[in-house]
Parts: sequence; structure tokens; C-alpha cells
Amino acid sequence: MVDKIRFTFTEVDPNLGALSTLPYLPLILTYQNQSLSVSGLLDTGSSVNVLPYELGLRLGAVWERQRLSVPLGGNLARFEARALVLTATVERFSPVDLAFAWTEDRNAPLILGHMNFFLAFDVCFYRSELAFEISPKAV
Amino acid sequence: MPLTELVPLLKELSYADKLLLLHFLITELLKESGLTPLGVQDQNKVASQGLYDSFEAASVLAKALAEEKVATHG
Repeated sequence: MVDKIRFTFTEVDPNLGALSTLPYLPLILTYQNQSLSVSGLLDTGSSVNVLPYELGLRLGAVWERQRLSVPLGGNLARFEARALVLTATVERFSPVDLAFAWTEDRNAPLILGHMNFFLAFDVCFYRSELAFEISPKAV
Repeated sequence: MPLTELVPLLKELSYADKLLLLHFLITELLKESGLTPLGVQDQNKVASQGLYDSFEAASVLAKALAEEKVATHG
């Protein structure tokens, strides 16, 4: 049987209530020995994971040491981004490596996209119930 | 309002307002001509490439993951 965990959508604007709910996933990101508890937006419309600049710094990553440049599109195209591989832990699931486009944009959200969050986890959305279920990729 | 009455008023505008007025007039003329400014054409080209189709970026991340795997597991 597949091990699944159910989460509820997060209300972003109390004035708009359920209309402003989004699927934010709580997870722990680790870089070397530094860990942070964060919430990432599950974005099936994004090709990549995106890490905002401040989060990378708080994890102890050094911008100048990341040598792979990541060409992002859309609003983030104006900012340079570099590849950064972190370890992500979701609840009781085994930690997985997630590669992020670490953007210099300080206002970018933490985005979990196809490369490679949705390759590491299966997600089922129940928007009408304001919930989603997540399970690790079957090995 | 005739232009002769408008000109003295325009002269009283600040430098920034004169620039904004100039921009407004150029935009209006381009709109009436059905033309798109060159800069906007470039912006549209970039805007059509969103995070949803950042496949080149995804390929760089795949490379970073592969390198990390080699570094960790040899």
C-alpha cells in the first residue's frame, strides 16, 4: 500500500477565504548541516523548483560557489539564477535531493515544480476539498 | 481646447510631467497607427517564456542533480 500524507490548502488572504487558498507543502530543506522549515508552493505549471535568494543564504549556501547558471523565464528572467541541490524532507518520508533554481530575486516564492519535485513525489489534488495528498515516488 | 491655449499650460509642467506627457503622446500615436514599440516586442518575446516552459533551466537542474549524485555516491 502506498504511503500517503494528506495536507490542506493554505488560505493566503483571510478576506477572500477559500478563493485564496493554495497548495503549500511544509517541508524541511537542508544544505550541508543547516536546516530550515519552510512551505513551498506546489506548482504544476512550473518546469523547475525555485529557491528565493534569502532562503539560500539562510541555509548557508554561497552564491559565488554555485557555477551552473539557470536560465529562467517569465518574471524571474530578469534575475540571475544558479543551480543549488538541497535535501528535502517531507514529514516521515525519506529525504530526497531537490535541485533548485536559486534566484537572486529576493521576492520570489519558494516553488516546487516538475524538475524535480514532481519527479520525486506523486501528488493528487482535491481542490474541491481544499486538500492534496502526497506520496514518495515508487522505487 | 485650442493648442494656443494649451501651450502656456504645458510650459508650466515640471520636467518629469513633460517627459510623461511626451511618453503619453508617443504611445497614443503608436496606438493609432497600430504599431508596437520595438522594446515591447522584445518584452513580449521574454514574457512568452514563463516558468512553465523553462525547459533549458530544467535541464541545467538535471545536470546539477547528476553531479551531486556522483559527488555523493561516486
